[in-house]
Parts: sequence; structure tokens; C-alpha cells
Amino acid sequence: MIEIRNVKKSYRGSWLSGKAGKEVLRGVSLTIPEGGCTGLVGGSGSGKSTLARLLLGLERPDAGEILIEGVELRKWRKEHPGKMSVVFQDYTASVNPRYTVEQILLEAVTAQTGTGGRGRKDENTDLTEQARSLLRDVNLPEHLLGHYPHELSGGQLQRVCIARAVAANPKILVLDEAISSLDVTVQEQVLELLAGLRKKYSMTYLFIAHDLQAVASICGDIYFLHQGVIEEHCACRDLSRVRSSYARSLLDSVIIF
Amino acid sequence: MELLKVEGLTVRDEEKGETLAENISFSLSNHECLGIIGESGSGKSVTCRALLGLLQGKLAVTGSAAFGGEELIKMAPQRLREIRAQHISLMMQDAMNAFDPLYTIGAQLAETFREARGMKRREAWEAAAAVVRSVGLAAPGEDPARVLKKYPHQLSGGMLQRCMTGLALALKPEILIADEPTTALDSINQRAIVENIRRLRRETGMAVIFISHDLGVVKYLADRLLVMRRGRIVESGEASEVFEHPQEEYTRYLIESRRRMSGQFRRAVSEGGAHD
Ligand SMILES: Nc1ncnc2c1ncn2[C@@H]1O[C@H](COP(=O)(O)OP(=O)(O)O)[C@@H](O)[C@H]1O
Ligand SMILES: Nc1ncnc2c1ncn2[C@@H]1O[C@H](COP(=O)(O)OP(=O)(O)O)[C@@H](O)[C@H]1O
Ligand SMILES: [Mg+2]
Ligand SMILES: [Mg+2]
Repeated sequence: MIEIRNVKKSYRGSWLSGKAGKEVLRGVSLTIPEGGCTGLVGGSGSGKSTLARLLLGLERPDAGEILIEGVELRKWRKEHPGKMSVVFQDYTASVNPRYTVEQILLEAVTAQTGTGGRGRKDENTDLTEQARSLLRDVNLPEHLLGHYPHELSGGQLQRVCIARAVAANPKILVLDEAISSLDVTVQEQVLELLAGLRKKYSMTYLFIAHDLQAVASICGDIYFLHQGVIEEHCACRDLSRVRSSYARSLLDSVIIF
Repeated sequence: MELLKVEGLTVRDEEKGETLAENISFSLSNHECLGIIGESGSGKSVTCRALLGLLQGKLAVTGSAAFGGEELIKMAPQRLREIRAQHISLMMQDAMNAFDPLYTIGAQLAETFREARGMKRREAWEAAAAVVRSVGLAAPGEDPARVLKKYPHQLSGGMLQRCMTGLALALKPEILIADEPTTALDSINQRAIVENIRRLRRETGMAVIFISHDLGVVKYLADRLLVMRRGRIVESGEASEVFEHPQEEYTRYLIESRRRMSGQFRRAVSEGGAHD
């Protein structure tokens, strides 16, 4: 279980860039059940990515705490290296353009040496075989192993990023707008893939997106974040019963297909 | 009345020997909204940019695009700039990049009015204020200067995109080309933009070319539809007809994918009943 309790985060202003200081998260609490898939929706600038960075331990909250399995985040991360992973929206910027697909995947596997990366049970297992099995997990053909990122389509590259994210056998996967830059048809495939992987490997997801329809299709429950405050939390099947004015207008504004 | 008639538009990358858009033909009448859907890389943006002479790099454009008796393809750059300022507006996905980070929103909006409409400083500033009001970024009685005096990074992506829409619409073009204007936005900002476009169509008879992979939005706006794949039009027709009875396998696949993805949401909202 992931418990985020009353977390606050401000960024200091800078006279150089003219940025004013700002409290981005103003006391956010959120719970994700073990093995669950929880959605986080909100407009751009509402603080979704900031919350993701705090959960990933990339930044520290100014106040509040984050517990995983009842253990404070930093302590949990030390005890479980590599057990938390992330997929970002910008897949082209998140891979090394000079690495082949195989190198990208193996970097993730070998970075976890000795920590039980997926398929690493046997020290003699052929590393290439591990990369192949990761590609199979995300429904990509094996011949792509020798390809470079620029030789792949957006959908293929995002699948490679997902394969890399699950390479170290994580328990928790943070998906920050992971499908937002993909085509409709590819979005649908990737959502199905993610749902399958979560079941297969019993992972817990925090799924961040601005598209309510996508979130509803994969998540069990949804948090609505507005200007750094959680306005509402509801189970997906109760979506029509949201009460807060923000969640309500987000919902009513959707142009359903 | 036919506003724009495109015939056999083809865009080739001579260096790579690739055809980016091939034999594209369609026409657009007053007041009409043409939706364009299709996978990314299928040539939707290239087609629209070719019309406005905005393609970057060495690309060969052939075919014809007649706008009110004038031929847009190979038109002199100066005249094309006038057309873009006065008759055909383009709205792109990435509003963040459309604004210069070093100038305030107000200064940039006003500058556009001075250039495109030959307005004086004060009049242009008033026009900029009207833009901010028209897209709901300043309520009646609220001072629009609060938004106008901000730099691009001080506004959210949704607010910037709304400024862009407001600007495109304030120029009251005969044709608005909107290239995925709502893809990166939450539903509230998306809805604001879509309703603004509808309002202007009603009020001024503006015609629209609306590119999006959000089929819900396209269905809501478009009268006619083009489905593109790999640089070609694979299907076209009345939007309602194509959505109800798609003829091509690719169109069916697109529609079914989105239906599957929105299914859960649709059920939750409709089963929940009492949705008023
Ligand atoms: N490193 C930073 N320094 C200053 N401001 C930041 C930083 N990161 C994010 N912000 C600001 O915090 C707000 C929330 O940003 P973010 O968490 O990225 O929102 P979202 O992901 O919901 O779009 C924005 O106004 C953004 O400008
Ligand atoms: N300026 C350019 N020079 C060369 N190739 C381009 C240029 N712009 C786009 N392309 C290529 O043309 C094809 C169609 O792109 P585009 O029209 O942007 O697709 P979309 O349907 O997603 O808008 C793509 O393969 C793209 O890489
Ligand atoms: Mg974000
Ligand atoms: Mg495009």
C-alpha cells in the first residue's frame, strides 16, 4: 500500500527567470491499495508531475510523509532498490539515442545486479534472452533488439520504455502521461498491455493523465487534483456521482465518443 | 459557396525520395467544418502547412489549392503572409511554442493586431483584452490586464491554448485550420476551445478544418470527414455517415479502438443515471 499523507511542496521563485514562488501541492493525501491501479487527473499545472516526483523520491516534500508498506519512503527505497519504476510521457527524451533497444533494456537489468531483476534468477541466463523476453512482454518483435530509438515509431518506443520500466521487476509503477502522446489506436493497445502486465506481475500503478476516458478505462479509483488540492476521490464506477464542482465540471466537459 | 478547393495536393521529400502527402483533394464551403483524422505521421499537418506555405525544409509541393480565385500553392510569400493574417488562421497543438517567452502575453497579442489589422497601440491593447475575455480567462468586471501582463511560463498550457484560440478567432478569419488544438488539454479547457469555435462558426460563418485524434471532438464538430493513412485519404464523406457506417477497415479499426477505450467511462456515466 502507498500512503501519501498531507504532502506539501513549494518552489522558490527566481528573479532571474521572473518566476514567482508557488505552493504547488497544498496538503495532498492519497492512498493506493496494494496491487491497485489508482488514477490521478487534473489540468496542466495542477501538480500531478510534482506529486509523481515526490513519490519517486526524486524530490522531497516540504511537509507531510509518504509511506510504502508502512515504511517511510526513503527507507523503503533503500530496502527495495529498483522496486519502483516510472514511465514518462516524453519517450524520446528518456532514452539514450546512441543505445540500441537491447542496450536500453539491459542497462535497466544490469543496473539492478544482485537485486533480482526479472529473469535474473540464474546468473548464467543469457542477457540477450532476458531482453527478448522483455520485448515479448510488450508485444514487440525480437528483431527490434538491434534498432536505435529513431528507427522506431512512437508507440514502439513507448513500449520499449515500458519494458525497461518493468525490467527490474518493480512492485510500483508510476505512469506520468505515459500514453498521452500516442495515437488513439496505440493508446488503446498500450492500456491493454499495461493492464495485462499489472496482473501478471502484481504491480501497483499510479496512473496520471489528463484524459478522463483513458483513466476510467484502466483505473479502479480516481483522485481529482486541482491547483494542488485533492478535490475528490471516487471509485471509477461511481464517477457519475462526483460532487465537487471541479470534478463535476471536468466530467461534464468531456465530449464522449 | 466554395471557399477552398484543393486538388491533387502532393508533398514530396525529394532528398529522401518519400511522399509525405499524395494526391489530396477536398473542398471546403462557407460555414463548413471538415474533420481530418488518422494515425500520426499520416500527413495531416503536412497537408495543412502546405496550404499556408508553412512547410519547413526542402519539400516539393505540387497540385492546386484555390482560395477565392487565388492559387495558394507557389503564391508569393508576401501575399501568403497577408492571407494568413487576414483570411486563414492556423492554430497549433503547442501553444507554449507559439509564444515568445521573453514578452508578455498582452504585448504579443497586441503586436499581432497591429500587424494584421494595422491597429494603433491603444486599440490593439483593447483588442488583446477582448481576446482574454472572449475565452473566459477574465470574467466580466475582472481586469484582463492580470492575464495580459503575464509571461507565457506564468500561465498553464490550457490557458495559453485558450489565448491562442481567442486570437485566432478575433482575427475573424474565413477559414480556421486547427491542428490538434486540444490534444494536450484537460476536458474543461478542451470544451472551452471547442465551444468557442462553434460560436464563431455560428456568428461569422467561419469554415474550419479540424485535425484531431480525439474522435469524440471531431464527431461533435465536423460536418464532413477525411480519414488519412500513410499520406493518402483512405475514406471521406459526411461525418455522421462515416462514423456510423465506416467503409474502410482502417476507419473501422480507428473507431472501434476509441469506442473500446471510452467504454468504461461511458458506462460509468450513463449507468450512474442522475446526470444532470
Ligand atoms: N522545478 C520547478 N521549479 C519551479 N516551479 C515548478 C517546478 N516544477 C513544477 N513547477 C510548477 O509547479 C506547477 C505544477 O507543475 P506540475 O507538477 O508539472 O503540473 P502537472 O504535471 O499537473 O501539469 C506548475 O505551475 C509548474 O510551473
Ligand atoms: N518539414 C518536414 N520535412 C521532412 N519530412 C517531414 C516534415 N514534416 C513532416 N515530415 C514527415 O512527413 C510525414 C507526415 O507528417 P505529419 O503531416 O506531421 O503527420 P501527422 O498526420 O501526424 O500530422 C511524417 O513521416 C513526418 O516525419
Ligand atoms: Mg505533468
Ligand atoms: Mg500533426
